[in-house]
Amino acid sequence: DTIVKAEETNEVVDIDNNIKDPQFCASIAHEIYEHLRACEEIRRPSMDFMDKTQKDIDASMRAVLIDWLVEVSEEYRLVPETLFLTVNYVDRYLSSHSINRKQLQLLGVACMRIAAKYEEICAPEVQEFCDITDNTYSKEQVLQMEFAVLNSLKFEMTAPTVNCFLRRFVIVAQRTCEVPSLHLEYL
Amino acid sequence: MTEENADAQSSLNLFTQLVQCKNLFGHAHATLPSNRPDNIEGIYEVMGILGEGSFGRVYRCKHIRTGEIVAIKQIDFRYDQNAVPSSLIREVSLLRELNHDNIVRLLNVLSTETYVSLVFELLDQDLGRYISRNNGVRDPWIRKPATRYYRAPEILLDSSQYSTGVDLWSVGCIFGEMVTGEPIFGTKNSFDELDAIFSPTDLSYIFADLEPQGLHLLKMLLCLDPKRRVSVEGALKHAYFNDLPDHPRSRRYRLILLLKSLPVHNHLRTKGFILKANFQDHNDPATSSNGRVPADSLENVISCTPNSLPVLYLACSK
Repeated sequence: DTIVKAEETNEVVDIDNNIKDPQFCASIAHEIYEHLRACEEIRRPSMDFMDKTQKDIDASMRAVLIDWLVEVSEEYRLVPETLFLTVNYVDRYLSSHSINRKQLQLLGVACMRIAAKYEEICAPEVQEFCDITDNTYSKEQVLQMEFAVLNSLKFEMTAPTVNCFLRRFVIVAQRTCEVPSLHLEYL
Repeated sequence: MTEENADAQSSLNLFTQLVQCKNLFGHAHATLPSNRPDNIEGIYEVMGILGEGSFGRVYRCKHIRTGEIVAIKQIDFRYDQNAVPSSLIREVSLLRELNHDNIVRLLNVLSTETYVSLVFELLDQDLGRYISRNNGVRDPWIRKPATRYYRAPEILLDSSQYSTGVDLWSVGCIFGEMVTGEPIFGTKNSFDELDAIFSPTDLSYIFADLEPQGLHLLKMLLCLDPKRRVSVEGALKHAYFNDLPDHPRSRRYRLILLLKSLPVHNHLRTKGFILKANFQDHNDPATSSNGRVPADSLENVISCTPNSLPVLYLACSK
């Protein structure tokens, strides 16, 4: 509640006062987050795709995939945002396409490649993504899946993730505390 | 280090980079297939070519069923090892986010295995006639993609670190163009562009018509050192904009619109930028009372940096 108040009224604490660093976009930060909130509603995967859309996979398989993707992102030192976006793309694709369990990992790497291309300065090569699946899938398969995902999501790859909001919440939390917490910084 | 020394140091660095990139620009771009298609995906009839670049082409098209006239930018990635390039993913995703009067609307995306067609709204143009009537500069129909005219020196020098300042440079170039009626750094290639930017010029001589405050702002926008270039916030607070409201079609007013239409999206700030500029002179009889730039007199500057070549094309209809 404090956070909401702080953001909406800017009375409690003004966290948008860093005008020196353009990366903070102080003068438009408010609009950006309003836009992200509105976007969140549209770019959200459906809540019940496991029951309604999927026939061959279940929640535990998805969990295994996500755990593995976390490891991949660490292996290739991808930024956290890439990982969060990957999960968003995977879930959005699964919301509308039934997929068999053999292809689930393929979907995972394809989504991660798209997210990396969107977010990273230097995205890993296709071959690297094939290697990490122990060459379970060919380069062509990865590229095809990548294209299928882009088409299915209509190239709408800008999606607000938990990570986007977390950054801001942490700033608010630190400013509203008298003693800034280092724990939050490394969350 | 004194400011003077810092300047000298930075000029030296710029010069070193300039020499290094001379070779870089020597390479020719891949050639485009020469024929143009009759239709696009059987949905749009191709009526003409609006512009061209190393990314592909921009066509003027008609929706076969509805008759709607659009601009279609085709981006070819047949020769790209990474399949869909990251610049394209970013450009399309970001355009999808944008809904602003001053930013051209992306209506649809059609894709095949080897290329993507971006369907944009097509704005009426009176501007081309307008420019040739006033200056006889060039025929808008054969005008090539030329956002290079508005590229900041740090991008031309292939700097790996550049920021929001590049947009301000572009605004400076467009501002200058509003005054003189032609691109102020209108050159044939990137090397000439650098040459033009770095040749010693007296701006007050070229922009003799401009009010002193305007000239001051222009100099702040066209500051070579991106770190010392004025910010959007700074520019909007400049004395040149005191005493508004002004005539809605005046230079000052249009400059404010341009500054304000600089992207409001966090990602745009770091990954690319999209502007739509209005070059019309404020003496134009077709005035608008609501202060908005009327859609029928806009020139589009669609641009993404740095991976995809920026595109400037005239939006044409009729």
